[in-house]
Amino acid sequence: MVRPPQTGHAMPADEERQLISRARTGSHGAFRILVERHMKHAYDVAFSFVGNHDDASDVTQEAFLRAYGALSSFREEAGFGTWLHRIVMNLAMNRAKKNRTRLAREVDAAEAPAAAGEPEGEDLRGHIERALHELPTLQRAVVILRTMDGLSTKQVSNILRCSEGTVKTHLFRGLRKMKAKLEFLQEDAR
Amino acid sequence: MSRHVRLQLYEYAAGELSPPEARQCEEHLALCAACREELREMQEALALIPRRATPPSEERDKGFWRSFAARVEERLPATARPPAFRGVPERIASFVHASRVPLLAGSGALALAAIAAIILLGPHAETVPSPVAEAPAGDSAAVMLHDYLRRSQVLLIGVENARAEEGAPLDFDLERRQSRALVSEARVLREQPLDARSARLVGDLQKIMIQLANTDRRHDAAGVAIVRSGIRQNNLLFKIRMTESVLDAGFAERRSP
Repeated sequence: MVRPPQTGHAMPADEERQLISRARTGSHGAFRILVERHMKHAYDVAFSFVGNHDDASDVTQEAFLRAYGALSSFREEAGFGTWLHRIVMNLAMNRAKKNRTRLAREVDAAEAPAAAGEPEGEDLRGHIERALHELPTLQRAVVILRTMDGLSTKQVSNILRCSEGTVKTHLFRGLRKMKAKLEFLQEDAR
Repeated sequence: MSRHVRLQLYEYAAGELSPPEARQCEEHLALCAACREELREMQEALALIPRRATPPSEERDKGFWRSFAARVEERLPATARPPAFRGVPERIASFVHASRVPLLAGSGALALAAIAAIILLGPHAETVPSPVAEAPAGDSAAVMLHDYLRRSQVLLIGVENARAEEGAPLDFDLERRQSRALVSEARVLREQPLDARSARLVGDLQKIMIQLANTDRRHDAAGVAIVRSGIRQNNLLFKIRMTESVLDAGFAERRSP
């Protein structure tokens, strides 16, 4: 995904603080401006985890509603965008997990045959998603945020509340595991 | 040999390192077979991860994004409006409520409300005479509406186009005073026999004027942004122009023999 290194929705910190302060006292108009400034990037993060537009839309809306409800607990240690991405990521990971469980149940119930006739592109995409979802949670989050969403090490460390060193370690391990899994899945499919 | 650079390999492969950092990394890679092998694996892994040409959000049409914030706003829980956005009657009501005044009736209640209004409005109270306040109902409502819309239009265009000089804050003192006068006029207008569309427009304008009247004297960039966003989202200037042209057509029809 092509992304600038920064989150791409620059808003002066003072203005954002004023909007948050107004939203806390019940101004829907102020919160709406925050939604408009952050919605696209939040959507992209959600999409990276859930992989489809319907879920990405639901998750993003839900994340804003949760953020509005939790504004009183937002301490402004990180930016609003970083805080919001954390909410989006948690909701999106839960949604992706539910989808996988549901899909597994449906496949079991239907005793579906192997998807021999699937086009190659779809096959590779499925393998990548499977390899990604088999990574441990933190490694998966780091790989998605860093390589697919193009966030910087610092931004990812703020979202995941860990050090930049930890982000680098998870990225390194996650990518190595992904490569091994993808090679295995592709060989298995031949 | 310098220390291993495997935790910098992603940044190196992605071209995110500064030139001195990249040089340092390359010097180490030239000497260390283990890190070279790690880099090769990293590059192979990255080549397997598909890069999207455009972010997923760009795949949604403009209509989706235009209505997205509105859909979120519709689902926000209804909460008490902040004090800064309350109208004068509500401020009086809350004053009475907060004072734990028992149920009041007749002249006592009116007297208290008047005192409360004086206390609450204080130096901010505008005594700008309203040219429409005493106007009779009926046909004159159209004249009042026309005058109100024209002055609202001038004010909103001014707010939309106001730009502060370099380093200077925006000063909306005059606009705030004008908006207070227009809020009072809107209250009178809403008691007139207006058609539904005009009544809705006056209601929308009243909300914007209240927001404008309550912006801080200076440095309230967020408050101004909310007002401007409200003007655009509600298409107020367009609606004013449309209503004015309908009114003008009505006036011309009445003048013709």
